[in-house]
Amino acid sequence: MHILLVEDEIALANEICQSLRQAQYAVSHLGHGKQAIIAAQNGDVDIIILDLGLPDIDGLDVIKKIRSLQLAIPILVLTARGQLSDKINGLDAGADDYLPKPFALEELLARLRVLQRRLGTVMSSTIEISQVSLNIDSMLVTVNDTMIQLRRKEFMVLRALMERANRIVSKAQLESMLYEWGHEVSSNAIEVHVHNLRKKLPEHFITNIRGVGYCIPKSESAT
Amino acid sequence: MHSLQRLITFLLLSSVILVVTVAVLGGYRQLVLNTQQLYDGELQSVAHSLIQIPLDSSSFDSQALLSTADNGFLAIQIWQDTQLLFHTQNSPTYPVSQVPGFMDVNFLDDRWRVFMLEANNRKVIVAYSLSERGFQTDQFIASSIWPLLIALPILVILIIGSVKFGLRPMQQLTKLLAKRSSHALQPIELDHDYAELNPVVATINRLLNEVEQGMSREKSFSGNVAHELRTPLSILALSLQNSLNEIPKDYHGRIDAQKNEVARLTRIVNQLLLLSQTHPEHHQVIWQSIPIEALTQEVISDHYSSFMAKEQSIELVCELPSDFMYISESELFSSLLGNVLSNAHKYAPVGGKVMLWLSLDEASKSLMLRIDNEGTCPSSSTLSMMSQRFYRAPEHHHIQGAGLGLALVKQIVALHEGTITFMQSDSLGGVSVSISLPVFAGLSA
Repeated sequence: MHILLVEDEIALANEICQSLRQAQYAVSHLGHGKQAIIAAQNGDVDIIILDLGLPDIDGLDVIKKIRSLQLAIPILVLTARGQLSDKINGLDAGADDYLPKPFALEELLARLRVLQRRLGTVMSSTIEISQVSLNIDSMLVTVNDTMIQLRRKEFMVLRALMERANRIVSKAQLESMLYEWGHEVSSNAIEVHVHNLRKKLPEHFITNIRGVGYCIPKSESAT
Repeated sequence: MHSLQRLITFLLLSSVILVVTVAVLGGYRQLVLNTQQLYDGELQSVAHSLIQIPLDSSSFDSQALLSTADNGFLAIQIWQDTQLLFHTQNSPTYPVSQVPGFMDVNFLDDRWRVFMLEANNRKVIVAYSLSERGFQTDQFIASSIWPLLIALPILVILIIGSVKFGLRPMQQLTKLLAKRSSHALQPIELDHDYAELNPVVATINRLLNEVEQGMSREKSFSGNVAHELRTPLSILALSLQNSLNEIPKDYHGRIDAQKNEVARLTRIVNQLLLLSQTHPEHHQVIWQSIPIEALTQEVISDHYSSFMAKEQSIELVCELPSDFMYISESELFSSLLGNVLSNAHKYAPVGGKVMLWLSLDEASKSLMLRIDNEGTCPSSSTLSMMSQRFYRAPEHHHIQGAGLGLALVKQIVALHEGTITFMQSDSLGGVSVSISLPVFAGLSA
């Protein structure tokens, strides 16, 4: 996985490079927008992390140029501007995600994982949280190394929650995910699935936040 | 309030009325004097012509003379020594005047102007009724004054109209200025140039220009501050994170403490920026339809990790109609919710509970937002001061924060023309924050 970081602030670029390398990514760094466009054209770049404030050309123009060249490389935009209009402009120009500065490293890594998953090049398709392990490809779920049997929809719910560990996934979000996958959802379907899931999983594995949704908490040490 | 137009009209009218009145009075006096002199002259000439008539001759036609004085207002007596030679019916048979010249005398129930002429032992006394003379004088004067009295109301109307017309540019300026809001700072332009108003307009335009420049400077200043502070903060945060992997575990505690401080600094910078960006004076809300329930769930989700860290529970009770949309700016609404939520989280104890209610108040057409936290509640005087900028309850100084959050919340509520109240939560014991945001008719589905 080769990441191209386009950032004119050398000190920040160095820190991001180091963080990404520690997270087992190959990283190249460029300080100018024009260089970035050439590098993107040459191929060999899987994801671009782009700062909007560049010394030579505006970051938004870099995105537009890359998109006009029919290059489908995912672009994650970094900006210190942090206003809603910046976010809209960035996404309109063809960026895939947006991260306002200052950001936490975990947040950056999480966004990269989402982009990677979209590329279909995730090294490991297994998500592990405490004693539960879920393999996306084989659709196998184990609890304490013992395989458990899940219905298809239950698996989808568990996968959605485990992929977004520590975040609350609302009932509406879960419904739309199941619906998108071609299933009709009755009003209490999600409750039923979660209820069934809970019986098969360790106690307190899925937390219900009343009125908000469901969450699988992941302790910090397990990250 | 005083009106310049009314003042000028009043002053002009009073001056005109005063001058006209004085002039009319003066003219009246002069006219009266002149007519008196005229009448006196008449009496004199009648007397002079009578004194020369030989009364004993046959040429004297007493009948003709009587008919001349027949109107009753002219009285004549002609004496020769002490003998009354002739007198009109309206005069007595005694001499009405003994002194030559003019005199005012009463006889036969009337007051008369009398002239006596004496020559060759003959006395001619001519008298004219003063009441009749006064009546005739008044008629004469009245006929010469009435055109002036008719002219006066016309003059008044003309003055009022002229003042109004003359002050039109000022009223135009007033209207233009009244329409101005703090967002409309383009220069003022009057239809015509006026020597008196030009300096005023020029000064106002110069000030407007300065205000506009100041505002745009302030806006770009916050943007610059954002960039200048956020990048170093990002570097610091990442650098600390990276150094965790390079230094012995014994020092990790110190790094973690520094990481916390950087996070705190970041929060303060973000809040300060948002506070300046959302200042009602220069924030233009980009109104959009927001699915409130979904957005609230998202904001809660964003803050859930900090709730988990304190083992706190949170519950949302949404009583809004399904698919309820509220017109606001999602960034603003998220900040509002996020700040109230993080305050509730901060002030609730470890393992405590936070409750959030969303409802629609049909009576006041408002979106009601209530957030209660478990814990202790500050005194009521503290509650009323809570939304001031940088204010922190004295009993809560051990809790980390700069006190900007609630100021930001209050500002965002003001942008929505809503209200915010703080009280003690009846169910959880801590603070209960109630926010009421009006739903603009026709805008919300």
